[in-house]
Amino acid sequence: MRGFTKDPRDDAAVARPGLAAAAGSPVIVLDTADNVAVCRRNVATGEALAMDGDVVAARADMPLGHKVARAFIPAGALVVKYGMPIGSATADIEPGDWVHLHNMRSNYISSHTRASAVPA
Amino acid sequence: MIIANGYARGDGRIGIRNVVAVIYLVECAHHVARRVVDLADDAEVHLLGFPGCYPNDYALRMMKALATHANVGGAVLVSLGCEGFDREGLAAAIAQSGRPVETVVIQQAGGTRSSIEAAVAAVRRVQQEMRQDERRVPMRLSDLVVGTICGGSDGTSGIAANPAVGRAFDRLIDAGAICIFEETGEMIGCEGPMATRAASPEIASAIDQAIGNAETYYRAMGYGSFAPGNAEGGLSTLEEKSAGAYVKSGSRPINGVIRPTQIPGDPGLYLLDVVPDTPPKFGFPNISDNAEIVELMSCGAHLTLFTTGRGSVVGSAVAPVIKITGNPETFARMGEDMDIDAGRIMLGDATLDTVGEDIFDLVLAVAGGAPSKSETLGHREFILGYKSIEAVGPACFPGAR
Repeated sequence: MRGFTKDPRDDAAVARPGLAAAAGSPVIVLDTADNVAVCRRNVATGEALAMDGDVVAARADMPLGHKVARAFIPAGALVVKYGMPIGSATADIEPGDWVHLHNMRSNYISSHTRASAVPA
Repeated sequence: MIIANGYARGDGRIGIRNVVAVIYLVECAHHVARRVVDLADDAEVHLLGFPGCYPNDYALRMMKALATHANVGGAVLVSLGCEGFDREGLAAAIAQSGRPVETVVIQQAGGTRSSIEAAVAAVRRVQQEMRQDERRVPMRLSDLVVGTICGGSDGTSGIAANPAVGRAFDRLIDAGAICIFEETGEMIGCEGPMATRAASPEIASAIDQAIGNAETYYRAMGYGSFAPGNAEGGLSTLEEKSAGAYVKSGSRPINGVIRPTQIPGDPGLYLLDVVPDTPPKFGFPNISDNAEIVELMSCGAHLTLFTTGRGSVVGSAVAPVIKITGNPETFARMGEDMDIDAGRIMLGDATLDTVGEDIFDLVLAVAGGAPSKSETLGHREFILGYKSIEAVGPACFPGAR
């Protein structure tokens, strides 16, 4: 259990009021411990993203369901979603950055797209 | 609560559908069997099959479990004649369960046309016998087994559709149903919290062992249970996908770890371990979603709750599939295939509880005979491959049937 901190099911309890409260924001924060938020719709570069008190400008176009950094995540640090680590940063990530295969990797096993693999 | 006018089987099980399984026992008999199903032109005559010529214990155990599934009332086996599948053993198991069964051997029946003709006639006779013996009984929630699977997951799955299924699972379990969640390989990273929900220390250690085995197995295969569409949908790693998949299990204690073909007896929640024993022998544990649905059915699932973000269209032979998407764009684009719109949760227009209720209600309706979207559209997917997996998992489970 690499760096495991909590039960991801607890996010459901957090997400419920969070979702209702965040109805006006394009992103939702699933757990207060998270350093990423999730796009509830497609987000355009420069959009102001309200995330649990912080407001961050989107630094990329990001589709529905993708992750955006809430805070600075240094290379090598854990990416936290649902209050649990979901991998490690492979580059410094700025608040508002899109967080995906280009700047993070699994701590368990490789991910892949049709074109390439992202080693763990 | 009575939920359906079920089909009572000779072995004591109660089904929500009354299917005739037409089963080819090697790819060489596939065409004949498919033509038989086409010509039968009946929504309750379904095609099942196994493609390989070499025998496999798992495939035989699976086919016995599927041909005697609660939703199946009888079977017609289609054999080429020279393949390795134990057709006599399969036919004997079906007959022993009190179901009518006939076998057509192509090499004996005289070729393609005469075999099709013979097998269509066999289907008619099996249906005739099923009608004569038909016994309908009140079915309660405590007679129902519900499976869940996610496919084509994206960043919405773990937030909307999966936790909503978790709510429905909690309600079903509280009402006495058996619920099964699966893919130990898609729970990698969640072993810690899962073990804390185990009903006993033995089950906790079985969970840990099963997830450890899954990680070793997938690592050897070089890929986790992660598809390019998952990445396009915003999921970056297997453990992120796992966390989202795990919430389908709801919040009730985990009563046991089961393997394919093990049917739980006591109500409650079970984890289905589908990952083969190591070292890897026949390839990936399950090459696509339907292989997992088939394994859920082998553990008795009368119907399956299928959550999808990207938008899967599949259904299944034998047991209805209810599809739930948490992605509002997917629902807008593919509503014709989706039974439940959990995307309303993403938009703030519904809560996990209300969508959980909708899922619960639909489970009762489909159990009662209402067709799911995939049933209406004629989806009857089925896939079964080679596997090397012991019949019994790392820990025994209570109340085995």
